[in-house]
Amino acid sequence: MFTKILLLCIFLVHSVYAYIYNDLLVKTQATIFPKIILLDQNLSHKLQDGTIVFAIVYEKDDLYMAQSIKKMMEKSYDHLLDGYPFQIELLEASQIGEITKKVTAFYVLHLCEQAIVEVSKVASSKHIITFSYDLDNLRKGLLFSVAMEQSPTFYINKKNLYAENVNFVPPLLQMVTFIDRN
Amino acid sequence: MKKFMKKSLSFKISLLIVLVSSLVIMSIFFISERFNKEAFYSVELDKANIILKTIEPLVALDIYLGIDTNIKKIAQDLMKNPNILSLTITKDSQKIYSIQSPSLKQQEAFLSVTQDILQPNTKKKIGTISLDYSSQNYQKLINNYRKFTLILAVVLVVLFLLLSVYIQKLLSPLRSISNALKNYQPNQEVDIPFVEENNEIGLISKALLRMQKKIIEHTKEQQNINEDLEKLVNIKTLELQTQLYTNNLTKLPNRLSLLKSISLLEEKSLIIINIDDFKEINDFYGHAIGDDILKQFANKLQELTRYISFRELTHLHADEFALLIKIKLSKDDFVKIIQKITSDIEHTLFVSDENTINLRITIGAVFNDKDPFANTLEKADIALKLAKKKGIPYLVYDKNLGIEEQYKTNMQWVHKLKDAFVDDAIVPFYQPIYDNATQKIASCECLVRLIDKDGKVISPFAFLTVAKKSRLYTNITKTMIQKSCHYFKNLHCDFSINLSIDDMLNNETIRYLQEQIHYYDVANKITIEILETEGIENYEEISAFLMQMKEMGCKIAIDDFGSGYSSFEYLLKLHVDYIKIDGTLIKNIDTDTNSAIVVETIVNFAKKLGILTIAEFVHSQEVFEKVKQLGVDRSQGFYLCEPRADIKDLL
Repeated sequence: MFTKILLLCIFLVHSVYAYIYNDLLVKTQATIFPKIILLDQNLSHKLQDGTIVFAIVYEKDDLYMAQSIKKMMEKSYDHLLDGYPFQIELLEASQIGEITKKVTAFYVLHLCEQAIVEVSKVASSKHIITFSYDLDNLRKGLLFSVAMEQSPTFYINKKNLYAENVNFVPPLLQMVTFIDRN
Repeated sequence: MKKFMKKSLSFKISLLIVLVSSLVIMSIFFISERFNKEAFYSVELDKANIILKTIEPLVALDIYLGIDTNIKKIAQDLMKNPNILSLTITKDSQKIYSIQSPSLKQQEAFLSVTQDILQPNTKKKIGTISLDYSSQNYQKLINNYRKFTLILAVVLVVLFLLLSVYIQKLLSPLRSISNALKNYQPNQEVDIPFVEENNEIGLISKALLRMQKKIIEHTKEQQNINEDLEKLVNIKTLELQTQLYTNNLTKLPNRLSLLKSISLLEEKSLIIINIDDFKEINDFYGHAIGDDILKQFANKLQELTRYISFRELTHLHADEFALLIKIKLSKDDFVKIIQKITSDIEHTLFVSDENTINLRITIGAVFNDKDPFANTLEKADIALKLAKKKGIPYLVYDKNLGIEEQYKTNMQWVHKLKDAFVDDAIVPFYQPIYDNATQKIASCECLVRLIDKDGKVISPFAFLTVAKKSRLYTNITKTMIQKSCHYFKNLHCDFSINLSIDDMLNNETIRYLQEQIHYYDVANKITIEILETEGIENYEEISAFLMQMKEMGCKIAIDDFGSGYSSFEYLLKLHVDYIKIDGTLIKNIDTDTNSAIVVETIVNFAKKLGILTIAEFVHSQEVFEKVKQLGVDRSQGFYLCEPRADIKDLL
């Protein structure tokens, strides 16, 4: 009983510190973001040995969320994205500066502002596409996000298009809303 | 077409412009309408396609990303366009969205387009978009175009009508000029309008004016030329008339002049003077001397007849002159004139180029003749021929001479002969020739007969002379050859036909004889009888012909032997097979010792040469016995058998 109470406490403590995520939005993003990668016409330069590497960047407290997203995506795509081998990695935000392998895209969950800046720097330097769970993070240097309004709405941080060497197909650019960092 | 040709030039030009323009405009209208319809349709189709192409990437992206709500939104936005009647989107053959405009049912026709939806990154087909697009714009464009072309056509028609009126006005001066020239006469000056105008009409008027002046000048010149020509023609006509009625050599009036003069006289006497054997003078001395002699002769005649009043001396042709006496004379005076001319001419010596020539003349004359002109000359000519025939210096025509009757008889015989050829009435009769030793028929002589329309048999003495003169003789010979060969073709009997020297010299007759002999295969049966009484002048040709016939297998006989002069010479040269002793030697042989001696001599001579002898004219028992006694081989005559049309029963 004690053990159960202890575990519950730990969970609750953990839950208190973890961010709150919209399940529908997460599900939508998890479905759409891999497809958006495929709309980058510079994709071939962003592959790790022909493999699309999709890294979910999270705070330590959101590990569970990150894992659930990974499971969801693996279930949806079964390690294959439109013919490309598809590998999903979990990457803690504190380790962002230590990554050595080539990553195609970052899916950034809730992070502190400093971490987001760090992710943005790494992404710009290594031409990694950045997807953000939080629309507000686009103003902090991330590239792409989806918000659930009347229908799913796409947003792009225009400046990062160049920074991350992203060249999306024109129809996508026609239907997105551009956000200026300022 | 005739009516159109009669219309004015301006009408024709206007009509042609209108017709051609209408044709061109209509063609352009129909062609452009067709092209424009296609273009308008293409424009509307392009519009529909552009719409589909515009929305296709967005729809494709939405399908790709699975954002169906966006697809619906795009479709609804699109349907705000009134031209879009319906939109259907399918994904993997499954309809995922479809929407229709309420106005779709009101549309009679619309355009349907379909566009494939391609996946944005791979361009793989993931669905289709179908769009029904309204054709209202298309119909509107077509209607507007028709209105425009109709207005254009009306404007053009008005323009062409104005152009027609203008052309009529432009060409109306030509009509005025034409009216002015309608009654133009070469010698009359016409006032030509529009000469002062400075355009093409003015140029035409000026040209016509210049032409008019030249025509007037030319007409005057022509009139002068015509007058000169008329004078010249009159002179030449006179010359020609003179030439027509004058002999070129002697300058005496000619035959035409004589005929003209005779025709004007009721009673006249005419003397035709013919120089005997003048051809020989020409041949001997040449034509130059001959002509000179004729001129001298003409002068002499003029001199001799100068004392006669109302006379006309004419040169008829070459050696024949005529003296027409236009007054009535006594017969004695007329004869004296003739005798004087004859005598004086015979006593005149004509000298030409150192040749002295004495001429003899023969005169035929007609005295105080009242017949129409042609007969006078004819009568004198008849008298001349008869005088020549009789060898007398002159003869005056007299009805009692019977000359005309003789001519008529001859003409009748010519007609009879011609009819006989048409009626196939020239036939051979056959007279047997008997072998005196066996008393059997040895051969037959084919003798020509004419069967007249009454069936009467006419002997050749009546018509052969006329036939020779009228050139029908060759046809008679040919008929005899053909019919005789045909008759004896299948008979076992020899036969003979008579050929004259003329026949043997006629290549056509020879060729025909040889053809018929070949055709009927009678070369070994036929004997060619040559009339010995005729002199053989062309001996070489006759001999060659006889040699040819002998080579063919024919036999040769000399007919009437003993009546000519060179009988024995022929016997030696011509290698004859038979001698037919002349009837004059045979007919009195029973009583005439001289005839018997001559016949005996001929028979002996013939026997030595191996030639068979035939006695003709055997008319009695006594004659027949005598010729047998003299050794004649064969006999022929009325006593033995008369000539008959068929002798088959005797063979």
